[in-house]
Amino acid sequence: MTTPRLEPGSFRDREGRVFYYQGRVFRALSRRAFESWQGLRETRFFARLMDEGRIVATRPAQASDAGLEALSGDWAAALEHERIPFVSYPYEWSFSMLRDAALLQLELLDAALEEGFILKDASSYNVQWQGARPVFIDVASFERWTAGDPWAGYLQFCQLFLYPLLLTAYRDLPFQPWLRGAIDGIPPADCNRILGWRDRLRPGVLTDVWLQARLHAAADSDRSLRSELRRAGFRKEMIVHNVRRLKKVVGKLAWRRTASEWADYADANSYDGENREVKERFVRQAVSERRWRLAWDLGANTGIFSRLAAEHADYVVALDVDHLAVDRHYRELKARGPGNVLPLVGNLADASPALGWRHRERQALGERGRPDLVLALALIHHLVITANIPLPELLDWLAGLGSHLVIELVTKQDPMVRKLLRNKEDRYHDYETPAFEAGLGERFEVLRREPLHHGTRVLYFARPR
Amino acid sequence: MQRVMQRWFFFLLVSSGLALVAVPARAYLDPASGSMFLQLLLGGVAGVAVVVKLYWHKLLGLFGMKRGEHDDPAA
Repeated sequence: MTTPRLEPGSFRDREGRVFYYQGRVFRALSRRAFESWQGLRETRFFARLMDEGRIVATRPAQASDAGLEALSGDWAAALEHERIPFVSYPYEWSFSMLRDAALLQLELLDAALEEGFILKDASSYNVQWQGARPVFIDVASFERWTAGDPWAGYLQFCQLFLYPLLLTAYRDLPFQPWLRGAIDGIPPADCNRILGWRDRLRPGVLTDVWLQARLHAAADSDRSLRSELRRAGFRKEMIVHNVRRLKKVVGKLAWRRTASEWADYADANSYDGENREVKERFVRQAVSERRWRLAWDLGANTGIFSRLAAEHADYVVALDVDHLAVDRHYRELKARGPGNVLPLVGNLADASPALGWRHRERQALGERGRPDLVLALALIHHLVITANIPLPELLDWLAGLGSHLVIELVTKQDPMVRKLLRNKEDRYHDYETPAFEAGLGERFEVLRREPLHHGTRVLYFARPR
Repeated sequence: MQRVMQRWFFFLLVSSGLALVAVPARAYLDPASGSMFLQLLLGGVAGVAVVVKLYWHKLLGLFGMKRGEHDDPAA
């Protein structure tokens, strides 16, 4: 008999707690949260947004089905949620992804306010993805709005959505390293220090950043403004006004970067038509071997091979280190699909770690679901030569995933590798075709092998031993 | 002229806010008093009306239109 397992990242709100039981996802509700839920399920906006897939599919669960009695804590009821195929975090999203997640958050808040509800927080971690579609997952965030209350999540919205977007849109600074380093996001004072005088004329900066930073610095901690606001009559229209203003600010934000090292790789790589065709045929044949549950396309760039894998996999996680390439991939998926590819920004040589309270609030990349197929095309020369990862360690890591593997070896005779070695001393004695093949053969059974470009590149399809 | 007046009014609102903001007591998420006060300013006309209502006496004081306790002739 299994016991319910608490989601370690869902402890902040005492009114609800996500847990897993027999492979299903549940949310335990306190008495207060259960009352909110009963009101929420009667509203029109909740039903509509859930139908549209913008709120995670949720239904009441029998306490016995959820194993609620065995869960520690005093809980009134449980809800069951549809499982998100692969959990990701804002520091793995591209600019357009974070912007669309922010717009979803504001849209939900606007719709909720119309029917007397509010979102009590505004964490970007409450948004997850079904492919390129953002989905709001924290239904316990909806509460009845109490007359006189302001929007408690405004500051959190700024720190975890607005400021990261402003820094990328106005300063071309990547927000991912900062969000990865600060679980609560970017404080107003820090954002204010980066944005200069010229930026203060831009939408959102003067009020949401500069003024907010000044007001925080001047705050008097001995008085309760909240009760004063209640007495003075803080009205719902004021929150709606602010939310709609933010929608306009966020909706107009654009990241103007047009070039990066890898974003144009698909057009500018060293593949001619014939070799590209051979490579696509090889990958297509490998991925169509069977149905895959979860495929990882590592170094996916703008997702050419992710799309091939998506035809034969339930879900594909397409990871690339190049933010602009991932942003383009996301926009392409959003416009044309397929709907089962999740593009993420990530560097395997510095992969997303476990973070937060007890290192369990946010999980490391590899802990969030093991793939049964891995594509590593035109990737490993970067890991071995640019990031200096020893080839045997890289192969160990790949073998540890326990999945089938489509891997491309770009040899030292290839112009791309020659370029990488141009200003470096070649100390990569392990990076030779015989050593690679021996290492691969020890850990995997090679099913197919195909040389390209007169042998300067070789494709392998292998299964774990 | 109207523009200058608007700016002055905004300045007064902000200065009164800087002088008065405080920290709240409820909810798992601290909305932070500075951010709460800012929401008044970003709440449109209704919000500005609340600021005036909350801080009317301070505003009068800033204009020199309110007599302080020591000026009360009855004292």
